[in-house]
Amino acid sequence: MSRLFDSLRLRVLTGVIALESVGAILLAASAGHADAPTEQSVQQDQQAPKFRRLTEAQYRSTIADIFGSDIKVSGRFEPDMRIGGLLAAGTSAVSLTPAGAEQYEQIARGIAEQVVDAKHRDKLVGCAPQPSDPQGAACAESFFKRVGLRIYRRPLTDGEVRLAVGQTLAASATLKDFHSGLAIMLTTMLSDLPFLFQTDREIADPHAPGGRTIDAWSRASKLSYFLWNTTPDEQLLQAAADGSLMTPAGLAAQVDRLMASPRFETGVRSFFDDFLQLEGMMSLSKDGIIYPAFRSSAAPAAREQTLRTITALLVAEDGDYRDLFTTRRVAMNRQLSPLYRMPHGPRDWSMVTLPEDDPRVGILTQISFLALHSHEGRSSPTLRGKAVREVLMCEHVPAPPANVNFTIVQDTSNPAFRTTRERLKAHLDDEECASCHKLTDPMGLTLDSFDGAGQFRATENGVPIDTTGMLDQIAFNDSAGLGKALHDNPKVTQCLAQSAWHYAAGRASLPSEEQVTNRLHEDFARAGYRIRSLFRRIAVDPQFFAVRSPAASRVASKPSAGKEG
Amino acid sequence: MMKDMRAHGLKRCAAIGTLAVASLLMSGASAPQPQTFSFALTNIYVAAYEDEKACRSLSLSSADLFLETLPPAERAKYAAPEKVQDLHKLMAERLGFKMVPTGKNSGSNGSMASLTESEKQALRQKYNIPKGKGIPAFLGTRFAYDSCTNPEDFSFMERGNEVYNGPVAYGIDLDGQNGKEDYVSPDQTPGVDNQLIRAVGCTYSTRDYGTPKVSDNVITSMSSPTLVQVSGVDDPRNDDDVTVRLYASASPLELSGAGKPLAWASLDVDKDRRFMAQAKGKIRDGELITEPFDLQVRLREQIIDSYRELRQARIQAKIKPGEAIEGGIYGYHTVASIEDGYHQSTQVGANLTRMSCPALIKAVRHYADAYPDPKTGRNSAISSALRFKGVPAFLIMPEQLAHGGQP
Repeated sequence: MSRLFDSLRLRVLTGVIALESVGAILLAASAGHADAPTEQSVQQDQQAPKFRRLTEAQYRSTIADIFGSDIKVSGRFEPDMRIGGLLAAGTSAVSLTPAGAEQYEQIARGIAEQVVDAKHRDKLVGCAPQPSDPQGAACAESFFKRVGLRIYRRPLTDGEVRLAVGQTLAASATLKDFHSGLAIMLTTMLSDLPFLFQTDREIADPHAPGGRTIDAWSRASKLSYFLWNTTPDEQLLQAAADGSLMTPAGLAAQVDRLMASPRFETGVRSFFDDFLQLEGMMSLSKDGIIYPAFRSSAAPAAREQTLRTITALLVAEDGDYRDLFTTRRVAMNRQLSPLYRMPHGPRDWSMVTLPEDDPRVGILTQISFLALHSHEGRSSPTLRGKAVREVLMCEHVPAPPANVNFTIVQDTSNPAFRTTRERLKAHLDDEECASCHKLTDPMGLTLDSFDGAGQFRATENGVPIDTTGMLDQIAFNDSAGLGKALHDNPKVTQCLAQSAWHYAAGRASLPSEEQVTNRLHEDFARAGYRIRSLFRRIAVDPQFFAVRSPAASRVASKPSAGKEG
Repeated sequence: MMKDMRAHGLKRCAAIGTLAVASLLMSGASAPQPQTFSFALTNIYVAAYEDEKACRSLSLSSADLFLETLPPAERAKYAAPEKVQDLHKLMAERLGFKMVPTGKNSGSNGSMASLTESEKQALRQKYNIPKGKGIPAFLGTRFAYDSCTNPEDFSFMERGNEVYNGPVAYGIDLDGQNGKEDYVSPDQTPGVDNQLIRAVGCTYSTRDYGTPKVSDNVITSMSSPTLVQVSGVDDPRNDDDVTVRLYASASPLELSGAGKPLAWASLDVDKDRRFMAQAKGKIRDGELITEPFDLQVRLREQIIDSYRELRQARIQAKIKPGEAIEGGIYGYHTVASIEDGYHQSTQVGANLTRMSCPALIKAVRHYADAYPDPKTGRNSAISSALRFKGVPAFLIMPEQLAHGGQP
């Protein structure tokens, strides 16, 4: 963690405005506070990280919620890291590089300048120096008390407020402009650790003598970023302030409120976007000659299609998660309908039901999955099968050896091997390759009636495509059969339950958590595999707020107090 | 909130006639049902047969003709090809051409903005444009006065047009006679009626861009392509009774990732009844042949919102179900619709394509060979051959949109 401070020190030193050093003072003050990660605290509990860096999406939604959606967030963010299949789990493993700290500072400066500009200051600052307050000390204090609560997701201490006001006034005097001074202090806060990192502040557990938990403000952040993927709103902060969030009833009330909001859909979208690795669609490209219908707009639209389908079925209709693999309903728009070779009347998105004889069944036959797990110019049963194993079933498929000869599978025009199945069969003559391909190809080949762009094809090079396949000893003839096999496979629902847990906790899987996730899966099953139930179960589980790994925690040994939703 | 709707079953669509779909998607059923094919035409153009000897020379452009009017010294100064823009500028100044802003934006989907008569009059007064002259141009964003908008004011530009004298031209026998003015088709079928190519076949743009080799790869009327629906097809290779419907699209043509027309896009049918037409037809060995019918197709380009009007037109086109349509529209092109296109092209278009609007309009009127005006006795239409290509599309009918997209 010392790297964090090094980078911040560098940021302060390289600030383009000399007065920005005032920020360092505030940072120095917060470094001694429970907010700041220290080497010692990290070593004390390696298995329960206390800091999670905001993702880009969380950063953007947080700024929009605090200052309004018209405040532009411009700049490049530090890349996220996927751990255990989830970017969310990587947020507790990433730090700030010096370059990243500079980027955050630039972004923060851009935001701060907009907040205090003539267009926004009346609404967002709400005050200015007056004859009775010529320097603006009262205004600055009012501003930082109000905005500081939203930025740090906890109230500023009196010392922090004094420091912020004092440095604002000093900067204002030097720059001869109150709002410029305010912007410098705001830039510092928006570049500061308590803003950039969700922090779990440890306290004695009021409901478990001798136990430890996290404080109410930390709870508020965890809940809000899990269920809404954004910063706590005022009601949630109020529940933290009045202590009700620390009680089971108060916690349940807030969870129910958050889940009743339309913004819960955003939270579920964010989870599935991460779980299905759909951010990969944003950098996906296809060969325009081979797949002319796969336009630049297709990949983002396909990502949106899958997320809309999921939220419509699982959130709006409270459907069974397993039905995602067998449903014939899909969100559609005119960007995608040419790839599906189907008409679409509405000019915007709408849910459609594919005919009973349509070869597409379930989300595995949507463009997002099929195109993402393919090559630029050809399909890939291996990549698709690997994604089913790793993404949907949380299994691990070994990487291919470095010296594999892919010549046969890459040559789609070889008259001796006219279908993908034939090419893979020839490739599997190599026993070293065959062992892993057996894990992936039997189900991936079932999806080979969809090309590398996800378009249906009955034949390849004039030869009918054989779509028979097998998953864990269950044989099937087509993608509908594969969907049914996934629907009925407990590994699929187990994987979702444990992924949701790791997503919420923001860290990688721990061996000691097996009991927790097993119980979670059992409850998920009892609730009919409803995503609402699963999310609620996690959000009210004391383990979610535990400060130790389950095996080490006394709290962990207690049965879950969460109620089923 | 998304509205749930049933995907348009293909057989259902064909049956209720609200959606057009392609045969490839028709699933096998116990009793074969008529199929419907729909296409978006990616270009419609006056087809020129490639024959280097057919024209004595290229027709003169309005700039060529203006140059001839200049004194020798000035003519020498502006004669060089690199001076052509200066020549255009000088022509505009000397002849009083105008191109002034109207203060309006173009209409939706590249349509012409409307100007009231009083607004036009105000523009004429403000910019010193002759009374009653000038037209809205550039989709109504400009008001123009020049040799294309008002060719009658620039009669010295009526000369210099070369006629197409080649023996071969695209087209069919429209009148059942093999007259001395008739051409033979590229496959040597005699009796081809195509006086339009005689009139305009030697302009620079027709010779260079009118051949299928070039034009088949060019997209025209992109913001409102013509839509063709062929329904009641029992056998895509041979069927004696099919129905052909034409529409204008209210949606722009979409492009693929390779920049080519995108197949299988859903395109809204325009409610404008002027561009709706219907005819009976038959399919022989995969070629669609309609009975004669009157039709208008929209021509909406970057600066033009015009139309092509044909009388007693026949469509003959090869259909590859699920892949493409390619063929021609053969009939009598009304002189009025041809002139409207020239007017809207303005001098800007004439300069770009090296044509003389007065000369071409005079030639078209001269060679018009059908539909004499009862009052004047002048022919109001000219035999012609337009070629086109198209890609499969789904047509979304207006009533379907009005009901939220459901059939």
